[in-house]
Amino acid sequence: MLQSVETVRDLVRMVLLSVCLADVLVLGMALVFWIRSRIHEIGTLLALGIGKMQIIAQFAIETGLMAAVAALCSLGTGSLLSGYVSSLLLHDSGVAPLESLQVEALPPEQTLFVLLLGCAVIAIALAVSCAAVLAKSPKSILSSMR
Amino acid sequence: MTVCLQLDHVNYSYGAAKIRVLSDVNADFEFGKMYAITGPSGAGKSTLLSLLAGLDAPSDGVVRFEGEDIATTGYSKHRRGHVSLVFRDHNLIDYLTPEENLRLVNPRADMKILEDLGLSREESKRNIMHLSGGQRQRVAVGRALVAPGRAILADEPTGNLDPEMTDEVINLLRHAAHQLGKCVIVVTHSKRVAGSADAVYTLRRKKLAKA
Repeated sequence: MLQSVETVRDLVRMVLLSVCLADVLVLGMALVFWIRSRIHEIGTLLALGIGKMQIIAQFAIETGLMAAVAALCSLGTGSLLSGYVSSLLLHDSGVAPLESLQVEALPPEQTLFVLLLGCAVIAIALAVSCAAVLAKSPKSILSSMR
Repeated sequence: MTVCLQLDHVNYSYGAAKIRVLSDVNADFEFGKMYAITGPSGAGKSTLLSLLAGLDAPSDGVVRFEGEDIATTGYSKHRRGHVSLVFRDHNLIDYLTPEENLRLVNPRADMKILEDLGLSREESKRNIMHLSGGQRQRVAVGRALVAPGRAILADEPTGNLDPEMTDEVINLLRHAAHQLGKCVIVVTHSKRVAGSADAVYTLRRKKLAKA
C-alpha cells in the first residue's frame, strides 16, 4: 500500500515537474516573441527620445496586468483541476484505500510558490528579450524594419 | 543668427568593412532658417540626418547642439528635448490614433495642426492603420511640428504627398522656421522643397557643400 502511495506521489511529482518546465519554456518564448513583434514600436519610441527604462516599465506593467488576470483565473480553475486530477490518479491506482481518499486543494504556500515562479519567469523573459532589443541603436532597429 | 546644430569634422563609416559614407563634413545650421539637403540616392543624406538627430554616433568628429556635444548631453535627451523628427517611413505607433501619436511627443499639443494638414476630425480619431500612406505622412509631419524640440529634421517629408499638400507642408515648415524660430533641415529630392529653403546643401562623394 505504501509502495502504491509512493508510486502515485512520484508520478504526480514527475508530471508536475514536466508541466512546470514546459510552461516555463512556453511562457518565456511567448514573451520573447511578443517583445520582438513590437521591435518597430520600440525603435520609434527610442527615436522620439522615450527612455529605455520607460519602455521597459511599460512592458512590465502590461505583462504584470496580464499576469494578474491570469493568476486570478488560475486560482479558481487550478484548485478545481488539481483536485479532479489527483482524485483520478488515486482512483486509477487500483488500491481500495487510496480510491476512497479525499484530496484537498493545493495549500496556499504552494500556490504562492507557483505564482512567484510565474512572476520570475516573466521577469527573466522580459529582461532577456528587452536587453537584446535595447542594446541596439534606434537607427539599427528602424533600419532593420525596411 | 545663433547656430543650432553643428557638424564638426564628422566622419561616418559603417559595417565590418568600414565603408566610408561621410568624410570630414562641416556645417552650421542656424535657428530661424530652413535648410534643404540634396544629393544623389545613396549619398548618405539620411545618414547625415540620423547623426544630427542623435540616432547614431559619428565614427569621428562631433555633432553639437547650441555648442554642446550631443554625446555629452546624451542621445536620448537630445532626441527628446532638442530635435523632432519626420521619418521617411512615418514610424507612427500603429495602435494609436493620429491625436494619440501627437500627444506622445507633446501631451498639450493643439490638434488643429491635423486640420491644417488636411485631416478631418473623424480621421484624427481613427486608428493609424486605417489611414492612407499620404495621411500617415501628414500625421508624421504634424508630430514633428508639435514636438517641443527647437530643431525639425525631416527625411523626405513630402514623398507621398500631392502638390497641393506638398505646398501646405512646405508652408508649415517655413512657418516653423521663420515665425517660431526653429531650425528646419529637410532631406529631399524635390526641387519644389529645395527651392523653398533658405539655404541648400548638396551631399556628393562623401562631402557636404553649399549649393
